[in-house]
Amino acid sequence: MTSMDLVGKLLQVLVGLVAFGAVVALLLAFLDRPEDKPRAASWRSGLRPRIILVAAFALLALLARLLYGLVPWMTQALTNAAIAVGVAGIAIVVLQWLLDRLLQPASPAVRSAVLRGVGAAIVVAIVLVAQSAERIPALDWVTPALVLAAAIVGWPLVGALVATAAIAFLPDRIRRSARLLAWLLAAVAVVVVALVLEAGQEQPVGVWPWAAAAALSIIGLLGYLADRDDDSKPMLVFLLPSALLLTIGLVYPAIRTTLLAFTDKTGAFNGLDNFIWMFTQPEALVTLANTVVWVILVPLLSTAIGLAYAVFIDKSRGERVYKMLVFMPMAISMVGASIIWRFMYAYRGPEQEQIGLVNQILVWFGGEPQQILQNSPWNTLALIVVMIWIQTGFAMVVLSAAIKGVPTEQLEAAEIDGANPWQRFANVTVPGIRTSLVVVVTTISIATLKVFDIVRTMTAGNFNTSVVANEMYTQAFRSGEPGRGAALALILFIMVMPIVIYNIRVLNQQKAIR
Amino acid sequence: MSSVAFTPDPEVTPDEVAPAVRTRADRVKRRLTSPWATIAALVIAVVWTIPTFGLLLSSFRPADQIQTTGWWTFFSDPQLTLANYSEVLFSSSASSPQLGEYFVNSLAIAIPGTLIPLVLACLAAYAFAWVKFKGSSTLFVIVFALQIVPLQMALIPLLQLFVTFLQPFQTALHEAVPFISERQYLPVWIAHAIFGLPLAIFLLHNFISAIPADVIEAARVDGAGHGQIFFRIILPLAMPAIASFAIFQFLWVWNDLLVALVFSTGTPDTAPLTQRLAELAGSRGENWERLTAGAFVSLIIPLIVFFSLQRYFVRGLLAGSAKG
Repeated sequence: MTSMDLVGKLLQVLVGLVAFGAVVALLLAFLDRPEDKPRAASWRSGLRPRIILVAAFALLALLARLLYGLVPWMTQALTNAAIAVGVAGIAIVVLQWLLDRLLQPASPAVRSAVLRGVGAAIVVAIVLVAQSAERIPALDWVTPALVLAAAIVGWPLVGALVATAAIAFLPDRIRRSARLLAWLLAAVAVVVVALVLEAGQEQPVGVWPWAAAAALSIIGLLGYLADRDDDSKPMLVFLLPSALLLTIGLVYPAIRTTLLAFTDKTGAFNGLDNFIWMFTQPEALVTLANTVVWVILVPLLSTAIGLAYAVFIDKSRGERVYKMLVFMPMAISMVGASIIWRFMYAYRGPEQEQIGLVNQILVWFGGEPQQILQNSPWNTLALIVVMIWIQTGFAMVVLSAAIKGVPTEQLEAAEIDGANPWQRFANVTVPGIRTSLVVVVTTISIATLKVFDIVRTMTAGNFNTSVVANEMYTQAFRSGEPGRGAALALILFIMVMPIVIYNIRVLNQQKAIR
Repeated sequence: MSSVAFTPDPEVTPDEVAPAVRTRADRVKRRLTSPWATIAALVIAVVWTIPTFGLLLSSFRPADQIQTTGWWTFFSDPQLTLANYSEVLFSSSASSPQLGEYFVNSLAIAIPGTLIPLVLACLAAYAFAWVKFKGSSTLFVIVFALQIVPLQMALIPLLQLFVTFLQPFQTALHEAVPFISERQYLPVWIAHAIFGLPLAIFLLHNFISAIPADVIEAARVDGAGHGQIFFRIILPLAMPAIASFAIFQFLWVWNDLLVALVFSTGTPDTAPLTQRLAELAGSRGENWERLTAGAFVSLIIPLIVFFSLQRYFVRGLLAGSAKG
């Protein structure tokens, strides 16, 4: 990896986080409108954050200058860009502070109008400078795409700012609607300007106008919503991003997948063909059968072993360490666990020395080394062992906590009545931890139904080891059969749904009791 | 246990037992333990630890020894080396896994992939818990129900959406700032944020709505706006829940394979460690000196989190186990 790549990646993360932070800050700004708050009289108010900002910008420019020539990735263009951003940032912060001080005595309408006017002037300056960037050597980092973007976004933004500045003097009643109208008009203007540019065949404009239009309309809508006097309305702003993401990213795709399940690979409706394929073709049937085996064995065995272990180590010395050892697999990735176990199962011919512990044990007991991951049907069991290894710790930790909640009096009473340890366990402890047992079994069942990583990493679903979640991925993204993949996802959803609902209900009951 | 804890908390329970009760419990207990139980516990503990231990030990053995002898022979012929690690992490030869790069990718995916849903969920949870608006409960039930949808249900259409709407934007960004590669983390971040949100909102809502109403009422009377209440009261009080969820989500993203396979490009530009390791296990399954060291490189961060933040980790994990 070159250091250039690394810096590019860091820049990506930085840009992403800053952009996200800006969006959230904007949302929060809408929440408490500055007009509502009494303005602090002293000139010191708000000085500290501004000093910090100025220092940050200065540091950025300074660092860029210092690193230039020292490290290979600090190219001249990057240095110039950083210095330009730093200087411009400082100028804007200082300007804003000065304006804020000067406008202290003015009415809110005048203040907002002046601020918007100055903002518009700054945008105009940026656009003009960008357009003449070719002639200024210090601006060699401004790419043509950036110039175009600045022009397309800049002019409508100026229009919107000027318009809203004028609107500040309108009577209250129509001000809100007028403001919204101005923002939406600006958004439309962006698209129109872009289309005109594109029609003129000067340059392809790409997606900038659409992104800018969307941003402008969202800003306008948010402002419109937040401006209501009603106390609760701004809170919709709080919900908006999550609601938007969930609708676009979960609700719509889930519906779409359901429809997709009834189409073939060209996207044409084919009725139940995908499901008929699933329940008749041998390779698909193996997948379903494997999933059933998984979902029976894993919850049962991990819960049983976890419960036994929890009972055995209860109140013993070093309980914490014991717990940690078994719980640790839960922290690592299933990919990591799969590699750990592939190493355990590693195979060498009978004439060679074994390097996998499992085969070595076979040899020690006089057996033949086996290709554990390739011999069907035992290979499925070998994969199941990995999942049990991971999930037992989870069962153990939950059940151990539950066991400690069983009242000692009941155990003592049972003992006085002559119950042996096994009877005490079966008749007092187990009924006492019933809800926890249900939660553990259902939770592990859900995780097992969705198991993907283990199968993918250990066998990639070959040798008759595939399960529904893995087959879904293979069909949809490897074999180019999105319809079949969607049908498998739908089956998965139908299998998981009742268990999840039941699990959540039990969890809620448990919480209600406590 | 306080009423706000959303899960059984194994770390807390023993401390809550009054001392008198505890001694009596110990007495009863002592009569219950049998040596057989201790032996069985020891056996399970050893069986559960050996696979990881074998891998860790192997990753430090010279390559030719890993290939020819089992790691248990180490005890008769101890030889250790760091060569495997320097090979998988930093070697620039084409045949090396070059995991250093993927390690950076994993971090670059996991940190925003945790922060974004966390912040959005905090905002939404506060709105659901403390603001009365029309349709609030209906909306919350919908979010709650979304936990049922396994993420497999969303993969295909979401990828199509990203290709149609996000791809041009990414290309444009690359053209404007050539320094940023055309293959970006953005789709993976958004995917992880979406898949993390329902659970995050649900958990944080449970916690935030349990904050006494008097506290918030008092702040409101003193003239605090929503923003101030959110930052000065809700965030500090909800810190334990936030920390638990943050750790859970971080590990979930770090350990994830499916989302990475679908939404990352699979190239060194964006693919995380898990994807690279799965690929190596498939293509070079017998290259154990690389696989063992590589696996441990991917395990180190989760293990650090596990050992240093165990209490939060357990709580987050238990709460998050229903995640779709």
